[in-house]
Amino acid sequence: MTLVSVGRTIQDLRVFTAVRESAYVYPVVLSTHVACIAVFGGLILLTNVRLLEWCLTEVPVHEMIERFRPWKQLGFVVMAGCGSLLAASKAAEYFVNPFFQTKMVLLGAIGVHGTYFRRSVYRSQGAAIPPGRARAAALLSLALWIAVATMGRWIAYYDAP
Amino acid sequence: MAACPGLRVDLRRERRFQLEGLRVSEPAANFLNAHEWAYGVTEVAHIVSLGIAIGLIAVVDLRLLSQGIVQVAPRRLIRATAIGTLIGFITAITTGFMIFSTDPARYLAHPAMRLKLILLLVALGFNYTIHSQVARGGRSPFVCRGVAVMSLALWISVVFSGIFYAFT
Repeated sequence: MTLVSVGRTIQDLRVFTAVRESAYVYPVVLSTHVACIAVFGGLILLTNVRLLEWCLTEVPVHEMIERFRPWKQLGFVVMAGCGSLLAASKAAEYFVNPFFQTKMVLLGAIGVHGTYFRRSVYRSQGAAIPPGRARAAALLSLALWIAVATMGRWIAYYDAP
Repeated sequence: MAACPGLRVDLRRERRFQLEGLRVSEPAANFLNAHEWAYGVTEVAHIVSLGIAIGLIAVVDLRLLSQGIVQVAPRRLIRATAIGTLIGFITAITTGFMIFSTDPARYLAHPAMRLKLILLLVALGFNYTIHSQVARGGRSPFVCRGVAVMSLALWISVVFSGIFYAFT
């Protein structure tokens, strides 16, 4: 059983075939996926800029993080939901696409990042955040998300040999 | 003008030919067409920078909807994000024109791209007039909510028309 055959089994499911072949559903799902970058990316950016102490220093970091959390979660659910639909409907191509594979690894790294900095930065509950940790968390987060967006766009550039 | 109704059409066709000629005669003269990696990098820069610009506006919109960091006044928030939004816009528009220059005739003739350009102008105009005015304060919550929803709707529709360009 290869990645391609698993992908083919998934994309041949009726719902994913319908998404792939519809004139409007596919572009609407893709547009929503991209619009999520635009609408919710600002929350990630502003949190990281605040962690770097570049702006809004009068707002305590933990307050900004907690206030933004539900909106980030909403954004992530919509974005990942649309992304999964897009990937599943072209699974046979995507699973063997190196840009897609890299994107999935990077998303895993973002999960590790959130867990690693959980106590010290993201769930500090008002305790002082060591400045070095805050900077490291912010720079890594920015780099990882930009890399995810880059790999996402480049999925379209790969031609299977 | 009324005496020669065909004139306008002819002028338009003439213009199309000029643009067509630009593309056909010098395909490699365009940097993005000559280097395979350059196009991909430019597209990523376009997406990331539009994410920065629209994302920071969306944070202000959330605040106008009384969500997000409510302890900061919208006035303060728009001032803190203005420079980032502007840098995002300048980069997104510059890279947008670079992508456009790879095939101007095709882009200009496409209805989705024309719609995108119109929506973009409306959204930009709205952002730097009504939106920034209302964010400066002194308006009723009802007006703030309306402006925030309008702003989000405009920017999302710009993204949608950009993607639909590739599908229609």
